[in-house]
Amino acid sequence: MTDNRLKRVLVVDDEPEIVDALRAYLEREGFEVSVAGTLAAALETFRRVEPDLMLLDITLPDGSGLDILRATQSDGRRTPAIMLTARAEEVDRIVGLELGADDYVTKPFSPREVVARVRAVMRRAEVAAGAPRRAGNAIVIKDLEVDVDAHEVRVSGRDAGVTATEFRILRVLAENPGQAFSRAALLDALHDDGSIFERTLDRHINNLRKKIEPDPENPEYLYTVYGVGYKMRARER
Amino acid sequence: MNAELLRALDLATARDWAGAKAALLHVDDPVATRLAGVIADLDHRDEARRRSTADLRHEIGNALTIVQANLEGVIDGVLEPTKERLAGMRDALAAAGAALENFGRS
Repeated sequence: MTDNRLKRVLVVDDEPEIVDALRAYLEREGFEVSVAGTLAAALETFRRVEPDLMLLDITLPDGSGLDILRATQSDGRRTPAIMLTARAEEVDRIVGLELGADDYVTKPFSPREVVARVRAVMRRAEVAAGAPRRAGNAIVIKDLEVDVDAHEVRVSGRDAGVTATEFRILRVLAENPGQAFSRAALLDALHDDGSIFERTLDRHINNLRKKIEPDPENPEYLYTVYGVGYKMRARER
Repeated sequence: MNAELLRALDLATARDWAGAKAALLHVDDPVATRLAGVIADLDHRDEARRRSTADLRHEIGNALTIVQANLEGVIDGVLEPTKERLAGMRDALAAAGAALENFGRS
């Protein structure tokens, strides 16, 4: 199911005026923000809040943002990180992926630019983690788009012409890629009023395959899980 | 002048201090010894210059970030234009100015 909690960002910089500005912009964009001004405080805050992304200044009074990156990655959990640096000589190491940062921003920077980078890195991390990618309010899986606002399904940009019932079925499966649904569970997730029966569900799936699959006999999107029901293909990792 | 000395001079001209030192390592010659000393001194000065340039860049980068981020924040209506905020920007610029002045003297 989709994760609706606020995304948490940990901002680490020893300049309070920079931290204040970044916090204000990130909170305005709907992020939950924690801040730290030292390496020690950053590690403590990291353990407490388990952020979805870190913004790390490289030069800190008691160490380096790179130390935070190393310490948090060695826990076996990979938290996306964007490095903040005024030191051009550090950029090659960061970009060279030697340290595993996802991106960097050089000082002086615009907070709007930082927010844009945060969104981009989070989007990449979600895709990598197998979460359904959303373009506007459309769920995108390979060439398939389930546009929730327009109530439309497109394949390679072309309207697939699905019915209202087919759309509802596809939406539930697309919002949970890789998750197998029994016929009963799928009907339950559809909050069905009794208009769809388990046996007619199979017919809807067959019709959907004809409309969205390049080869309905060898589905690329809607898989049959034998003995269970159906599932949407998982996103590539 | 032997080949090692010429090679060391070429490497030093290219600021490859480690290479120049290595080229002179096994040369038993008073000129080579003097040259190795000069190269070590140049290496030391080059490193000090690199460090102080990086420090200056850090100071000015931070100061400009404070000013840019706070001004943008006020313009965008994300931050309040308080007296404290203005004073913080002024102090950041003063710190950058002092760093620049020290750099010119070093």
